[in-house]
Amino acid sequence: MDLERLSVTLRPRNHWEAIDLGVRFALSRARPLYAAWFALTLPVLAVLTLIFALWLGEISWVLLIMWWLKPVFDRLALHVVSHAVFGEIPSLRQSLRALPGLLRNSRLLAALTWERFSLTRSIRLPVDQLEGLRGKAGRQRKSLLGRRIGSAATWHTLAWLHLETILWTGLLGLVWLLIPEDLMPAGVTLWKLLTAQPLWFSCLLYLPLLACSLLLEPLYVAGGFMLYLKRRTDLEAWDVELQFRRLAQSHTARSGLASVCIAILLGLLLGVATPSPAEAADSASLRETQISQSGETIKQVMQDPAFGKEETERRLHWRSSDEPKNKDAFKLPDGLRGLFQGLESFFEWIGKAMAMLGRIGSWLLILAALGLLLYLASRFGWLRNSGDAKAPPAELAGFDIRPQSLPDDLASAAHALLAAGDARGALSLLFRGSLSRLAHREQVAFARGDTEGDCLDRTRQQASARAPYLARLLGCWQRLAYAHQVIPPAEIEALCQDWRKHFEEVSRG
Amino acid sequence: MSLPTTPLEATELARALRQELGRVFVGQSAVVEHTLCALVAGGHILLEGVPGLGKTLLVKALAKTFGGQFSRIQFTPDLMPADVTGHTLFDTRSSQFVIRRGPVFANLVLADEINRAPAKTQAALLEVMQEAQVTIEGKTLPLPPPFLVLATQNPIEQEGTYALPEAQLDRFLLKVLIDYPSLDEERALVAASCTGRTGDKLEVEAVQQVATPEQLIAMQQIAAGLRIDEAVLDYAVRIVRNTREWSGIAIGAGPRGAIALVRAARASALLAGREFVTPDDVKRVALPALRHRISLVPEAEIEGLSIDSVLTSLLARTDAPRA
Repeated sequence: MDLERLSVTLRPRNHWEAIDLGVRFALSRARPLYAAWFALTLPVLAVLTLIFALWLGEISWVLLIMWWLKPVFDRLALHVVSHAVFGEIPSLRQSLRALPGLLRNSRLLAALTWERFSLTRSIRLPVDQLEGLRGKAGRQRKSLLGRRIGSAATWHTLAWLHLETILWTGLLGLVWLLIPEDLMPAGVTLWKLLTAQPLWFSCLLYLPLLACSLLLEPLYVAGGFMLYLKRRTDLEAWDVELQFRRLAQSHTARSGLASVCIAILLGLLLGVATPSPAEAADSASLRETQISQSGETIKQVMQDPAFGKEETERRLHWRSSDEPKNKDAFKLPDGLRGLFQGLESFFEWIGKAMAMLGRIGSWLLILAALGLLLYLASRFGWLRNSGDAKAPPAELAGFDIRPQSLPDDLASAAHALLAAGDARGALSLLFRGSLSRLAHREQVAFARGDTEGDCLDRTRQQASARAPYLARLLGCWQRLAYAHQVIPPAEIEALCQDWRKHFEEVSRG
Repeated sequence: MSLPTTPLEATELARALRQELGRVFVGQSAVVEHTLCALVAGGHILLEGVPGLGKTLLVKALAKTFGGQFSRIQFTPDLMPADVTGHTLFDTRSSQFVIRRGPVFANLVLADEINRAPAKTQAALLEVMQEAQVTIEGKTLPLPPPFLVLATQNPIEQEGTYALPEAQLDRFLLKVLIDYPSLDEERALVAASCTGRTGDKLEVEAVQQVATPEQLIAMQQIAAGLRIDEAVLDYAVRIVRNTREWSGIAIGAGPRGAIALVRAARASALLAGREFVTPDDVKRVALPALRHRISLVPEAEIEGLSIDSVLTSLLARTDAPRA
C-alpha cells in the first residue's frame, strides 16, 4: 500500500464528509465501477429471471435472491473502488479475473448468512476483503474500527435503505401513471400491485425496485469504504505520515548539493581519517542502548508540563458489598468488555431509577390506603349518625327517653296523673316510659323519624314479648292524641297496671 | 244499595271492593291498596312498570266493581289531543255541529303508555285531570264523577318516548311502582288465568258489582272529612318542606305535594278502618305521593341513589309527632 499514490486527499474529516467523499469518488470513477458491476449482476439477474420469473412465474423470488446476493456483488465493487483509490483502475477483465479469489478469501459464507443483516456491513467488508484478517484478530480489528464509526455506518445503511425505498416508490408511481387504463388488469388497486397476476405487469412493478437497488449499491459500498479509510487515517495517522514523507522528499531535493558540500567540509574539519570499525561498532551498540532505553526516555519526556500534568482528584462513591472480588479472573475481549461495562452501567442506572419509582409508588399507595381508610371511617361514622345508632338517643322526637328523666315509679306517677284528670299526660308518660325501657333495657333501636307504627314494628322484631302491650298502649294513645277521643279511665288504669308487669320486671331482671 | 254515611260503612264498602278485585287480580296488594287509595281520595294515579303485569285488568275490574264506565286510550306518537278529549262534527241531517265525546268521558280512564304521545297530547289530559271537565269548541263539559285517570308508563324504554312534564306529573296524586309478582302470587295468577280460558281476552266476569258510582262519591266525601290532628298535618307539611331543603334533592315538592299527601293519608286511614289520620298513614303514602314531585341532584344520581332511597332517608330523619 503506497500512501503517496492515494487519489484522495487525506485530512481529518467527520463521518458524513467521509461517506460523501466515497459517493463522489465512486461517481467520478463511475464507468469502470458500473462496467464491472453490471458485468457481474446482469448475467446473474438474467439467469434468475429465466429460472424464477419465466419458468416458475415467481418474480418476487428474483428480487429476494438478488437482494440476498448483494454481498457477492459488493466484493467486486469494493475491488474496483479500492484499487481506484490507490490510482490503479482495474480493467473489466482484471476485475472479473480477480473475482473468484475475492469470493474465496473474504468470508463470503458469513456475509451471506449471519452477517447478512448486519447494519455495519459496509465497514466490515473492507476488513474481510482487504486486510484478510480471520478469527480473533479479525473480530478485534472490526471492533477497533467500529468503535468510532459504527454508528455512522449504521446510519449509512439506514439512510441508503430509505433512499432506495423513496426512489422505488417514486418510480413505481411513475410506472403506475404511465400504464394505459385499457391495459390495467381489472380490480387492481395500488395496494394490490405487488401481488398482481399478469407477469408483464409484475415485471413493470418490480423493475424499478431492481433498478434502484442495483444502481445505488456501488455508491453504498464506496461510502462505507471511505468511512473505513477515514478511521484508518485517524488510527494510523496516515495524513501525518504522508506530510512527513512529502517534507522529507522536498528536503532531500533542495539540499542535495549543499549536503555534498557540507559532507566534504565536515570531512576536512573533523579529520582525514574515516571512522574505524570499532567506532562503527560503538555507534551500533549505542543505538541498541538508546532503543532499549526508549521506554524510560519517553516517560521522562512525558513528564514535561507541555504534555500535561497529573492531578489527583478524590471523590466519594458508593461501595457495593457484592462487588466481584476477582474481576480480572476472566478477561473478555476489549470490545466486549467495553460493551458489557456500558451495559452494566446502563442497567444499573435503570435499576436505580426503577427502585426510586417503586419507592415513590409504594409511598403513594400507602397514602392512598390511609386516605381510603379515613374516607371509609368518616362514611361509616356518617352512617352511624344517620339513625341506625346502637346507643339509644337521649331524645326521641321531643320525648326525653333517658331513664333518669323518668320518675322512679312510673306506673304510680301515671296513675296519679290519671287521678288528677290528665289522661293525656298519663298515656304520654306511659308511652315515653315504654320507649325508654325498650331502648335502654332491651336495646330496641328507635329512630327519630319513627311513627307509632314504626315503634310497634321494631318492638315486634326486637322485643316481641312487649309488642301486644305496646300495641294496646299505642292504640289508646292514637285515639286520644289524633282522634281526640275520650279514653275510659279504666282502660288507662289497666295499662298502668300492665306497664308495671311488663317493664318493672325488666328493670328488676 | 244505600249510601255510606259513616267511616265504618265506607271502610266496609272499600273492603268489599278489594275483595271483588281479588277475584281476578291476584297479588300486588300494594298496587291494589294504592289504587283504591287514589280512588277514595279522588286523585289520579301513575303506574310505572313493565308491560304484562295486569294494569288493564286492574282498571277494568275496578270499573266493574262499582258499575262505572271504563275506557282505555293507547297513547301513540301520532295521537292527537282531539283523540283524547273529543271533537265537533258537522251533522248533515240536522245541519248542525255536534260534539263527539272522546274516551275521557268515563269514570275510569286507562291512559296506557302515556309517555309515548308527544307533549301536546299529554297536555290535553291536564284540564281533564285537574278540573274533571273538557272544553270543546268553547263549550265546557263536566266529566261523570267519580273520575279517575290511571296512566301507565314503561320505565325501561327511552327510545321514542316523551318524558312527562313536571306540571303534568304534579297532577297525579300517586305514582305507584308495579313490580313483578312473587313466586306464589305468580303461580296462583297463572293457574287462575289459564283454566278454562281461550285467547288473550281479559275476563272480568267473575267480578260482581258491589257499589255504585254514587256510593263511591259518598265514600270520597267521607274520606275528605276524616279528622286530622294538627300534629299530623304539621308532620305532613314538615315532610314536604324538608324535600325542598334536603341535600340530595334538587327540586322539592310544592304545596300541591302536601295537599296530595294529606288527601292520600285520609284515604289510607279510611281504608285502614280508622276515623282519624295518624302519622303512620302519612308515612305510608309519602313515597307514592311524593316520588314524582321531586328530582335528585346530579351528584346523587351519579352515586346511584334512587328517589325512593333519598325519600326513605328523609322520612327516617323527619321527627314524627309525639304530642
